[in-house]
Amino acid sequence: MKSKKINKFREFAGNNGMILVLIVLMGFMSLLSDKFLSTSNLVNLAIQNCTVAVVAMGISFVLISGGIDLSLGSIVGMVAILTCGLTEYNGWQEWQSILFSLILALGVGALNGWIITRFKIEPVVVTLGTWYIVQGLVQNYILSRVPTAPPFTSFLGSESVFGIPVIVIVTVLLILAAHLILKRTVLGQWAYAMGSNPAAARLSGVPVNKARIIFFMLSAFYGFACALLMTGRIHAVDASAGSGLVFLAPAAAVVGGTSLFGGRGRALNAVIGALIMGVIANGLNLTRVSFFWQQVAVGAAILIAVTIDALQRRRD
Amino acid sequence: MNQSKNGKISSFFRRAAQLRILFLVFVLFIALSILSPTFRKLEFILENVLRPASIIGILSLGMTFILASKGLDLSVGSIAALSSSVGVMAFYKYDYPIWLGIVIGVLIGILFGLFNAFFITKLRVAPFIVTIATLSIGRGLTLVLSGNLFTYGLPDSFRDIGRGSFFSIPTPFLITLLLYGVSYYLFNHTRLGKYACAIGSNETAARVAGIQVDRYKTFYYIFIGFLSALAGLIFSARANMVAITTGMGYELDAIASVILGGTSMAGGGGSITGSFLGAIMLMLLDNGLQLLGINTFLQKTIVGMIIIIGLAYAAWQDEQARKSARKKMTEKVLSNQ
Repeated sequence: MKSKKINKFREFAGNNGMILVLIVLMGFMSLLSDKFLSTSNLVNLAIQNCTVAVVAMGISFVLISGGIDLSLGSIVGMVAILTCGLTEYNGWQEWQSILFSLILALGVGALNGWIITRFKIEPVVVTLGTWYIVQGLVQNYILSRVPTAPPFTSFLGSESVFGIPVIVIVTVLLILAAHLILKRTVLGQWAYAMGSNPAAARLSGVPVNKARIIFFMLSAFYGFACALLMTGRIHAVDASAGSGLVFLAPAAAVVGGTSLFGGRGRALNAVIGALIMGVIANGLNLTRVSFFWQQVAVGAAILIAVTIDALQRRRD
Repeated sequence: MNQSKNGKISSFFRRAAQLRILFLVFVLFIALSILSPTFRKLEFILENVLRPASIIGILSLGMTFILASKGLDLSVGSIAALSSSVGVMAFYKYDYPIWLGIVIGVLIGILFGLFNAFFITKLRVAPFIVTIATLSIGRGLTLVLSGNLFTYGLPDSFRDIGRGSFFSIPTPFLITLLLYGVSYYLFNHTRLGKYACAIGSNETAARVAGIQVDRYKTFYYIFIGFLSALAGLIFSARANMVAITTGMGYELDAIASVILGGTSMAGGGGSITGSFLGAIMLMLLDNGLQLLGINTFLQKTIVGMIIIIGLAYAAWQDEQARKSARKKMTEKVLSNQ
C-alpha cells in the first residue's frame, strides 16, 4: 500500500519533474529579488515568453513524431520580415502580406516533410538546407531595412482586451489547440506512435509519410503565429529576426520534458520549458546580472534539465 | 557472389559522392576563371580562396569524425571564440609568452570537448542538446571575459600565423594541409576512423562487438574541440582582433562542407577529403558571388539548395540502382527456373 503511494509519487515526479524545477526556480528568484513576484513582473514574464512557448509548441509536434526542425527559426524570420516588409515597402494590404507569408510558411513546412519522406534523408540535413535557403532569400529581400509592424500585427502583440494582453490569449488558445490535437485526435496518436516506433506505426496502418508532412506544416503554422506575435510585441523587425529561435525552440521543448528521440512530450512541456528559460533570464535581469552571464545560465539550465531527465530515464 | 556485388555497388556510390564534390569544385573553378580574369591568377586563389577556406576546412575535418559516428557538435563556433579570446588575452593583457597563450587556448578547446563528451557518453544526453547548451555557455563566457570589447592590434609574431606565407603558400593553409594529413591517416588507417563508422552505423552492435564506444566518442569530441580552438586562434591572427562575433555560424558551415563532401548525417561513413573539398567549395562560391556582384546572402540559399538537391539526387540514384538490381535478380531467378 505504502509502496504504491511512493510509486505514484514517483510517477508524478517523473512526468512533472520540470514543473517542480520551475517552482523551485521561481522560489529561488523571489528570494534573490523582492520584485520578482510583483504582479507587473509576472505579467511581464508571461508576455515575454509567449513567443518562445508558441514556437516550442510547434517544434514539439515534430519532436514527438521523431523528427527535428532546424528551419523553424528561419520560417519565423521569413513571416516576420515579409508581413512587415511587403506592407511597408511594396504597397500590399496587411491581410495580403499575412496570407502570403502563411502560405509560404506552410509551403516550407510541406516541402520539408515531402523531401524527408520522398527521399528518406535525415530531417536534420533537410531542415538545415531549407533554413539556409529561406534565410538567404529573406535576408536578400530585406537587406538592412527595418520595417515596422502593421496595425493588426501590433494589435496581436501589444494590445489588451478586458485587461488581458491579446498575446497571452492567443498563446493560451494555441497551446490548448495543440493539447487537443495531441491528446484527442488520431493525429496525436499517430505522432506518439511514429515517434516511439516508426516501423511498428507503419505496420499498424499509420500513414507515416502523410503524417510527417502534416506535422512539419503544423510546426510551420506555429512558427507563423509566433512571428506575428513577436513582431507585434517588438514593433519592428530586421534581417536577424527569428535567428535566436533556431536552437532556443528545441531547447525550450526539451527542457520542458519533451524527448528529442520522439514518442514523449506534451503541450504543457513547451510552456514549462519556455517559462524555465524565461524565469532564469528575468530573475537575473532583476538582480542586475549582466546579459552575458544570463547566456551562460541558460546553457547551464539546459544541461541541468537534460541531466535530470537522463538520470530519471536510467532509473526507470 | 551477390554480396560482393552489393558491396561493389555501395562502395561505388561512396566514391561517387567524393567524385561529385571534386567535380563540383572543378566546374565552379572553371566557370569562375572564364567569368573573371582575376581567377586565373594563382596568387588570387591562394589568398582569397585557400587562406580563408582554412578555418572552415580545419573544423570540417573534426566534424567528419563526429558525423560519421552519428554525433553532432554545434558548439564549435563558440569554442573557437572562447579559446581564441582567452588565448589572446593571456599574452595581450597579462603578458604571458605567445606560445603559452596558444597552449592555453588549445587547452580550453580540449576541455570543452571533454565537457561535451562527458554529457554525451556518461549521461547519454543527445549531442544536439548538449552542444546547444555548450554553445550558449561558451558564447556567454566569451562575452563576460572580453567585456564586450574588441581587441585590436595583436603582436606581429602572433599575426604571422594568420597572415604569413611559406614560399607564397599561406601559413593557415599549410596548417590545414598538415591537419588534413593527420586526419586522413587517422580516419582511413587507424581504428579511430573505422570505429567511428562502426559506431555511426550501429552503436549497439559496435558495443556488443567490444568496441569501447564511450572512449572513442570522447576522443572525437576532444579532437574537434582542439581543432575549434586552432581555428579560432588562426581567425584572430588573420583578422588581427578578438571579437565577440568570432565563430558565429561556423558550426553550420562546417556541417555543410562535410555534407557537401559526401559524409552522411545518418552516420556510418565519411570522407575526410570530401569535407576538405567541401570547405574549399564554400569559399569558391563566396568569391564567385562577390565577383558576380550578387548579394552574399544568396550564398546561403545556394548552399542550402546544393545540399538538398545533391542529397535528393544521390538518394534517387541509389533507389534506381536498387530497383534495377532487384529486377536483374528476379530475371535471373526466373531464367534459372
